[in-house]
Amino acid sequence: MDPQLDVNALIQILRGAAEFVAFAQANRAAGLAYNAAAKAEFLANGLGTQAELDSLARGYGVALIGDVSDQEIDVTAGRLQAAFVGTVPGRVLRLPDARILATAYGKNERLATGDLQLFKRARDLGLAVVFLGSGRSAARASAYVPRSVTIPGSP
Amino acid sequence: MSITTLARDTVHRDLLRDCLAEGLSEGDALLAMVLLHTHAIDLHPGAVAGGNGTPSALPALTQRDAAEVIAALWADLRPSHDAEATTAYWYRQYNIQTPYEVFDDVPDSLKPRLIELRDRLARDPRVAAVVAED
Repeated sequence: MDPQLDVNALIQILRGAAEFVAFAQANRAAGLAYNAAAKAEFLANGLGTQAELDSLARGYGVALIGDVSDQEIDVTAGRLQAAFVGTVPGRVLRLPDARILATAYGKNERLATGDLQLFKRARDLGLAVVFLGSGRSAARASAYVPRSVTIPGSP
Repeated sequence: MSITTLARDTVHRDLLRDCLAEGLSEGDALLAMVLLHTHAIDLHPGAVAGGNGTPSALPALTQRDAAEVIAALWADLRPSHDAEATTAYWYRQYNIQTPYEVFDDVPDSLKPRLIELRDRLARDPRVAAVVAED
């Protein structure tokens, strides 16, 4: 299943944001997914609903990744966080962002996000990440030159 | 404005608290998120505790990081508004109301207030510069 979606992508597809919907339509056949961390964040405080996730499943085939446990996500997330420790220019990858990236790294799948700063960190990690946006932000994403970091324990 | 050394873990919150001390509206909270998400903050040497006197550069934050900062700040400044004191709330509001990824994408109607907040932050004696990140 490929690609995976960040929570901002779930929100924007539901809102009907053009570039996000176009991406979902174009990639429906490939299989769109989100991980358990994204689900928990989406549903946090009742701000998002299971009915909305169900509508994404019906409309675009967006599915929950069910074969990666929370514990596996946390272990991988910790490795991704560690990659940024002591690096220049001092970017930090905090746990909530690392948990979103963890399954994309673990499965070697693409991740789609509308967060330009998370896009940069994912590129620094060497992940196959897609920036969903338009105009000047999309141009900045296209022009971004990664500052590669090393993930502990990676080959 | 007091000139105190900043703790590394709360540096963004503490800087914003000082420049938003007169109060925090929801609109300003979202603009503060835009500022943290699109700008890097350069600090003077010694501004951060344990920095060994070296300059500190704080890269622009992710949406989640910015939401976490604002949620904590909101809890400090508006403690009676519990529903808005969560990272999830501000992350969602950002994506619904102000989903701007670069300064140039901010609408002209919002830029004057954003620039005012940026300039106020830049006047903090611990801050060397607030720079739109490429």
